[in-house]
Amino acid sequence: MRLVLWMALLGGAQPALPPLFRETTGAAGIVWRHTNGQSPDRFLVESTTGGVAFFDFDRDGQLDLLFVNGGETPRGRSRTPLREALYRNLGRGRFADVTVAAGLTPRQLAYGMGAAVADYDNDGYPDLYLSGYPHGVLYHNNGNGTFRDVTARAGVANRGEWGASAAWFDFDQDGRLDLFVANYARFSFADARRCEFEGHPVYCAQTAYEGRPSRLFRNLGNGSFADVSAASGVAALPGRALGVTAIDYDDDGRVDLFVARDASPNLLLRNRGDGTFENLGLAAEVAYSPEGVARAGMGVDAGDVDGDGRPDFTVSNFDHEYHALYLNPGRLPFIEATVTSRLAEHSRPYVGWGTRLLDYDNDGDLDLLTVNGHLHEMIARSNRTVAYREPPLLLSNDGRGRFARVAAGPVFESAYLARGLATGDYDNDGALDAAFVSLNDPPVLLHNEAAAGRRWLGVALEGTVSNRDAIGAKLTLTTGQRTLTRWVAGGSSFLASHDRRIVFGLGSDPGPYALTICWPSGRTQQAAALTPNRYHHLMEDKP
Amino acid sequence: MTPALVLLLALALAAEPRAAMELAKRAYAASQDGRWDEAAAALREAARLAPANPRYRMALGGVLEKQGLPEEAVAEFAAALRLDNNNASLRERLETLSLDTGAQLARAGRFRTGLKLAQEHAALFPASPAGAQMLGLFLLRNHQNLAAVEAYQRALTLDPALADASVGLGIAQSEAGLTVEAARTFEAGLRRFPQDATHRQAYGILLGKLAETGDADAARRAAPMLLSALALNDQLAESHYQLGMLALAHGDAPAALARFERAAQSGLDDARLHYAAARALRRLGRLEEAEARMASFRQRKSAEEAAAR
Repeated sequence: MRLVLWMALLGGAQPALPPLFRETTGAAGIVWRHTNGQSPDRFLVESTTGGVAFFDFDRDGQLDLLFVNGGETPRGRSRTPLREALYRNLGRGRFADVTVAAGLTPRQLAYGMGAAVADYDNDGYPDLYLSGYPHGVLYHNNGNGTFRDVTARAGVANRGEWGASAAWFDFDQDGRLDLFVANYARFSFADARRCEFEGHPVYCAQTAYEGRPSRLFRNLGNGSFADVSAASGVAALPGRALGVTAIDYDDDGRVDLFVARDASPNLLLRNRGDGTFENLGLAAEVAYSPEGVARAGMGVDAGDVDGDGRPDFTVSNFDHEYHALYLNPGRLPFIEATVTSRLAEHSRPYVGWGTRLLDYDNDGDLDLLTVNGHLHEMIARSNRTVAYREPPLLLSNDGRGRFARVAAGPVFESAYLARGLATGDYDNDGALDAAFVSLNDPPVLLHNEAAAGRRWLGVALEGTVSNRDAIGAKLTLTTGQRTLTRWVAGGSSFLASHDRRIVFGLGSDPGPYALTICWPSGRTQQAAALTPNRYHHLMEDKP
Repeated sequence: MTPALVLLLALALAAEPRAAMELAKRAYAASQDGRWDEAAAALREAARLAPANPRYRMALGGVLEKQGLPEEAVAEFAAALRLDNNNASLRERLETLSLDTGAQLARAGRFRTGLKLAQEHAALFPASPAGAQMLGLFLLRNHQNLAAVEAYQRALTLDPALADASVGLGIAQSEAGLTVEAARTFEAGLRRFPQDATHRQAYGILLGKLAETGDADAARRAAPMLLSALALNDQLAESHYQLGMLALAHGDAPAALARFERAAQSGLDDARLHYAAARALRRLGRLEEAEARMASFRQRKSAEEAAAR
């Protein structure tokens, strides 16, 4: 530190600091590239694609990676057949493309968007829902390294819709995961909307496309799902939905939904517990900006930013709208802390998409990673401070909900058209890594090198009465010095699915560590004398 | 000049195909009886038969103006002027109508149409400061912010006394991300137009935005700047609204509500005002009134979105 200070005072070049996140895409053997079929037609669908998921599809204890492709458009064809990419984690930082062997080809998607992973049939193997236009695909994990398309039998095609992010959660608490698909807008390749900026083709504003209702599919437990969009009230709320996170925001034991929507008011869907939802977005003051404007909500995540034990929400928005932070005071309305948290200052020029609250340095506070990228190629002619390609943002939380931008390495000084962002600890070192997709580029895999030397405690939950993935569980860790609260949420970020395990950053806290788990079933369970720096597999006690 | 007079002139001066002249006569007769559709159709045909005669286009422009079709009228007058570039009265008439039409389009929120009109106006009247100002406005409304900066700069070069162009320049610079330049423009505007409240209002809004992103000096100056605007003109609804928003952000709901009420008294009645007032009322525990304001917000929001479509 002293050397750096002296070099700065003398005006000399500072020695390069090691990156907090090091790009490992090439070293990992990841060579797949995203394609969105962009053509002079500028179909809006091209601008919102690029999903990614961390999940251990073969249950070998190492997180694998899935990238979701976009697709072709009438005048934007690909020279080679398009496909998703499933990379199996070989260990030691290497991945192998097993897409074909896993049965994910030939491609069932027409135009791909995002991924949502969950073990919907509680057989122990994570299954895969891919959203897209004009339908999605559900792949069942056969448990032998392969998948099979069960969309028709399951009834979750979401046909005719432009599905964006999706979330698995157990809304009716029957121990089976249900599926929410955030639908965007009415769209057709046959109905081209042409817009120009100073004579150049650009994407028309989203408001030129009528918003659609999202869909909720109830898991019947026999491999099929019932569309309960109308009965639940979800169908009555059309709008351009892009992001969704499923979490029990009011601690009533039922999992709720926060839906980020693009120039449509965001939704806070409180689960009434009777199969219906009540939209409290307006009452919570999360639907609109303080000026009453429906911002361009893209991604959303939830977590306890200010350490009060309640989940707060962050939503990534358009440039100059600021990525928003809504603090949960335990009653409505929420407190918008976008300005006071300094999120406004840091996010002003960026169009944000994938967004994750994560404790990147394992100090116990939730920080924020957001990936960005504009969709207006001529934006620099409109605003000198905004660029078409934009860098990711890593913001460090001071523990009181105020963020400072962190110089995290070369990737954070480079520019992308980033979209989907997922987090997961792919090398099981207790430090959350990340991966994101950038339009028409190779994806970016980031290894976390910031948490070295800090204590951590990992928890992998397995439900027995509850859904096996324990989505909806609340975990409260009491240490010698503080209490940390985390949730196993459904969905989150944008077009992405994440490592389901929870990592508590402990800093130098010596413990002892005691954990309370509130399972989605309503049961509460204690675990004491947990040892740090390892993952603990905890099963729900059977009645 | 009335359409009838233009028609007479056309009939008197034109050495045109007989059919065109017959059509012009028919148009004249129709216009005398207020049958404008028929007059317009006849003149369109006459103009087609005699494309080099500017007077048919000019007469058609007059008829279209009578029909309440100013955009089409402007197009016909502009076509006539291209054929008769030295016609001073036509030039004057076109310039006035074009500016009036631009103002109408701006009020109606028809910014894309307005931009086309303003661009044509700027091409025909490159030395018109009002035209350059109009172009700046429509470029700004079409998010072509850097081009808007250039247009406003041109307006001020042509007429440095245009206070509205100075305000527009500052706003355009702000929207283009040129906040340092915008502040400089507003500071210069305060000196040059010390009694112009809108400069102070626009500068106050910019300072408020800068305060949101960590500019402590702007945070200190935003409210006093808006108050100084109101000291010059206490009917500036936007200044009241902005002061209300600053008060609400600082947790002073009573002050915020008072400002929102003043904004409403000064004529502001849009969705954002009702939303802000509802939020202030909630914080004061006046929940029924808050709910009523939220209902007003929803109603106006729907109307505004429908209008934008």
